[in-house]
Amino acid sequence: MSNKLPVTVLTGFLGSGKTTVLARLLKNPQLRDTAIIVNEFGEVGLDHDLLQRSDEDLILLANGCVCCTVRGDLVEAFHTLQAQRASGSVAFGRVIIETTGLADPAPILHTLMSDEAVTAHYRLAQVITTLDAVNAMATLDQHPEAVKQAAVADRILLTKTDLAGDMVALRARIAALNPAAPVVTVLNGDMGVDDFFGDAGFDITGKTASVQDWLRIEAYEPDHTHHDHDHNRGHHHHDHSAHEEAVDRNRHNDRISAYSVIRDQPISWAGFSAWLDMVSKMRGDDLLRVKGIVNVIEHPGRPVVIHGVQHVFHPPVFLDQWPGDDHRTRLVFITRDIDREDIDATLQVFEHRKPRPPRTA
Amino acid sequence: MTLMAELPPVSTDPREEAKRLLGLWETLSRAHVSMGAGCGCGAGGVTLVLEDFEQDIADYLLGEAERNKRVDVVAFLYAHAFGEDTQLWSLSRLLTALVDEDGSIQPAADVRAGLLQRMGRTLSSFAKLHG
Repeated sequence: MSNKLPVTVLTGFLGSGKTTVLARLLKNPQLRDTAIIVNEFGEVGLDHDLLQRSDEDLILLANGCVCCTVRGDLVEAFHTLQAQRASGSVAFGRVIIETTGLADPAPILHTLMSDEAVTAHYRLAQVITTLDAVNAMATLDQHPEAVKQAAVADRILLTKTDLAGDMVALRARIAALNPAAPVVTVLNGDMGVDDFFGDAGFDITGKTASVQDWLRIEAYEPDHTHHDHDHNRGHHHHDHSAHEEAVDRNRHNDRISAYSVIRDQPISWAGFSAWLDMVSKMRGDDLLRVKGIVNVIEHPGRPVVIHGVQHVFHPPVFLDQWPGDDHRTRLVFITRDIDREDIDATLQVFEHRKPRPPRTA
Repeated sequence: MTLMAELPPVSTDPREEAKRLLGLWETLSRAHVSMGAGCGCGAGGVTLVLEDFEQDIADYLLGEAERNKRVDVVAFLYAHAFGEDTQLWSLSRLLTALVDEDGSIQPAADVRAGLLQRMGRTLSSFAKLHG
C-alpha cells in the first residue's frame, strides 16, 4: 500500500443521516486518528460535546479527532490540515470529508483525484453514501443530486431502517443505480467502524490491492450476456436484471445505467487512451464513474488500472503483474443517458489502432 | 447541436441508407467538442473535431474486413476510400461510392450491405455520444 493517507467521502442527501452516523462514529476510540472535513456545521452538526476548541478553521474534537470546516476551497482545507500535521500539532492517519446534502460529489472527487497538492499526500479511498430508507424513493425521484450520490458510491448506508416498511423496491432501485456497492443497514444511526469503512477502499497507487474486489465485475453481470462482436462482450445491468420490473428505470426516470464492457483479447493502449479521452470530452458530465483494468498490447503482462469520475481520471496505473488469473480487459461504467451499445461500438473503432505514419502534405 | 434529430431514419434501401450515412458523416465530421470553461479542473477550452477520428474509423472497417477474410471488402475500401496521393482514408469518398449515384461503380450487394451496416452502427454511436 502507498503511504498516502486514505480519504473517505461521506455524502448523502439532506436528512439522510450522514451527520448522525458520523457524530456517533466519532465517539468510537478507533477514530482517534481521523481528521474530519465538513462543508459546514449544519443543524444537527457534529456532537458539540465533542468540540474542545476552535482555532479558526481547525477544531480539535474531544476524542482527539481534528475537524476542519470548508469555507472556501477544499484544497485550502487540505493545506491547512497538512500544515498542522507537518508541524506536529495534530496527528491523523485518515480523513473523512462530509459533504453538504445538496452537493454534487463529483467536484470533491475531482480534487482528490487530480489536484497535485492534494494527491501528493492523500488518496481517494472510497465514497460512502447515506440513503434514508423512509424518504429515499421520493428523494431519488425529485433530486438528481441524490441519484448521483447513490450512483457514485462505493458503499451505501441505508439509514432509518427501523422506521421504514418494505424496502424491496428501494433495494432494487439501489441495485439498478449501483449494482456493485454493498448496502449496509444502519439502525438508529449506530454502526461499527468496520461496517462503516468496509475494506477501507481500493488504493489505486498501492498496486497490490485487490482489483477484483474494487471492480466487482460480477455485480454487473446478470443473467444475460451479449455477444455483439466476435471477441467483445458487454453486460448491461438494468435491462436484464432478475428484478427487471422492480428496477425499471423508466418508471423512476433515474436515467442511470450501470454496465460492464469486456474484451478477451489485449487492446491498443494508444487507441484506448484516445477513445477514453474522446468520450470524456464528449460526455464527461454523464460518465458518473468509470473503473477498469485493461490488458494492453503495448505492455504485455502489465495491466493498466483506470479510474475516472466524469471527465477527470486518475493517472493510469501500470501494475507489475496481473492480480489474478483473469487477464481480460474489464471496464465498468455508471453513466447517465449513455447506452452500453454506444460505448462498445466506439471503443471497437479504437481498440485495434495501429501506429500511423506521419501525414504527408 | 443534436445530430441525431436532424437526420432521416435508417432506410432499408441501400442507396438511401448510404445517402443518410453520408449526410450523417458530413454533419458529424464538422462537429466540435469542447470542454466547459467553467470547470475547476483546468480542462476548460479543450476542443476536438470528430473528423480527427476519420482514419480510426476507416482503419477499423479495414481491420474488420481483414479479420473476417473479406478480400472483396478490402479491395473495395482501397479502391474507393483510400487516397493514393494523400495516403489518407476518406469516409465521404467511401459513402459516395456506396451511394453510386450514376451507377458507375455497382458495388456487390453484400459488400455494400456489410459496410453500411457496420458504418451505420459506428456513426450512429458517435452521433449519440456527441449528443
